[in-house]
Amino acid sequence: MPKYLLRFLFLLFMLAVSVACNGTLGNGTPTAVPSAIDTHIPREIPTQSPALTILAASSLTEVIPDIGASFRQKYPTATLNYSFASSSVLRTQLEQGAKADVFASADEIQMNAAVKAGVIDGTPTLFVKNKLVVIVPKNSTKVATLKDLSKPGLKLVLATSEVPVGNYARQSLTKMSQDPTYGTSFSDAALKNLVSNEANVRTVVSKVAIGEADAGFCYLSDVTVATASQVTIIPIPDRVNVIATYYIGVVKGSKYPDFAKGFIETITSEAGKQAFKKYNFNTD
Amino acid sequence: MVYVGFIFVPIVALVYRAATAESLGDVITSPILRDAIKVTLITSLLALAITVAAGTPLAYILARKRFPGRDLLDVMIDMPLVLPPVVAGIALLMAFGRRGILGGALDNAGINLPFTTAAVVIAQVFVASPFYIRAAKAGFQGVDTSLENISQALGVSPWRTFWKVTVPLSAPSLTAGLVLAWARAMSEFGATLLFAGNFQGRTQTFSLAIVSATEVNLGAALVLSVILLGISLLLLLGLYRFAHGNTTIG
Repeated sequence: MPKYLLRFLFLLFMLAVSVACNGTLGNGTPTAVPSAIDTHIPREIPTQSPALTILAASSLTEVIPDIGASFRQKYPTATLNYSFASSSVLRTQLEQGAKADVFASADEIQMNAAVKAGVIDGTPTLFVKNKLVVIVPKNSTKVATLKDLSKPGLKLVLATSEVPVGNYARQSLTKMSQDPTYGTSFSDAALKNLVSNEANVRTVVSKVAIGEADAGFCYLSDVTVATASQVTIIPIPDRVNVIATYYIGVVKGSKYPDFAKGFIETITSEAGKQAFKKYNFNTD
Repeated sequence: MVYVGFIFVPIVALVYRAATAESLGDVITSPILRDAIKVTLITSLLALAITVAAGTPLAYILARKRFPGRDLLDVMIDMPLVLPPVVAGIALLMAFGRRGILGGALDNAGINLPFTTAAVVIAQVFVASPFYIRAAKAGFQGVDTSLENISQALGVSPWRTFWKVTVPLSAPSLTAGLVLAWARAMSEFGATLLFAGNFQGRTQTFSLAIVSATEVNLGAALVLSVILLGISLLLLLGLYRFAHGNTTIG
């Protein structure tokens, strides 16, 4: 009897672990947010209950569903399905024929590549900006200022250079090297401390939040309510910062281009702006 | 037939698309490929060696002895099989990470595992060893114990009996376990990404290099995938050959 109890408790523990990790690290997986009203609409009229698939950069994980809620107030029959990953992964998926309606990229490069590949309808819209910051684990004393990033033996994590935030972080380090405050060898010394090229910005934040890495570069908006208690933010001065520009566009072949346009309008609306502000994005 | 098609069509598609990819030449000569082969082979072989060294006695005990908690041990060993690899990675971090349960003790001993090649090996042992232990246990259970008893009654030491009777008779199971464990170790991705990170030449195994490549250029990822497929196929064929040569005990 106690043996079975023990086995049961063990399985329960593993279940708890898996649930816990879905909560903190479960990004990159599509999240379906069905509309509550959806069930009351007869299925025979598909045009009245459009299901939009939104592909969005990982850094938009919290804010886009928030704005999606205001979109559904306007279009109560609509269902929104989200898929969050790095912009470069999403762009590859689109090029390989992934069915989607809206693509929101965290930089101009990935959006331009998507336009060039012919998977975007019309001209993409710049909808929000974001600033880079350095984050360190709470109570860690290893990195107090940006200059400490070049200290030997430090563990620095960045997103890979193909992911927008990884590219921006390297640009920012290069700018620091050109600034007398940090010195010409700063970028090389800091990059010597690089221990991992992460797949997207959210795993960078996770590795710093659990204290495995001593420092990481992310967007200011990535320090969410959930992680704010686990990390300390070190701001990067504007002269060596890189401002991320986010672009959004309708995916070519969308079944509901009008609804997709409506979604983009909601993103750029005043309500959208307020939501972005709430999540520390820059709407200027 | 449908099943065979289901398995073969994706593999044929992979090979076909890779062979016609523009980046074929670039990938074959790239240092990423060389480093990925090096890291994958070194880590997976080390993981296999650790698995065999620690797993064989354990499988033998599980197959032969009865003791309290044996069933629980059995279930525990199978746990990594049912855990999603990402969860395995988190569990490893919670145990051996800097702020993990054993992190403080390891740190005092001057050991820091995350983001090292050793972490890759640990992740592989964690996810792959159950395949070997399970198969080895089944193999040992299939050996008629009276043969072992006769051998020992004739004055052959237990150790020699194990090597000359038990191992040859369970060789097909042991080989199957080895092959599965090695394949699993080489293809390991989720736990490695979390526990060991992704750094070329240090922790970037083949699977990680492939995923990184999909971010830039799918063609490169295709070529890498087919090379991994080829290497795996050769290794597995070689292992099967070797095992079959050994099973025929003169």
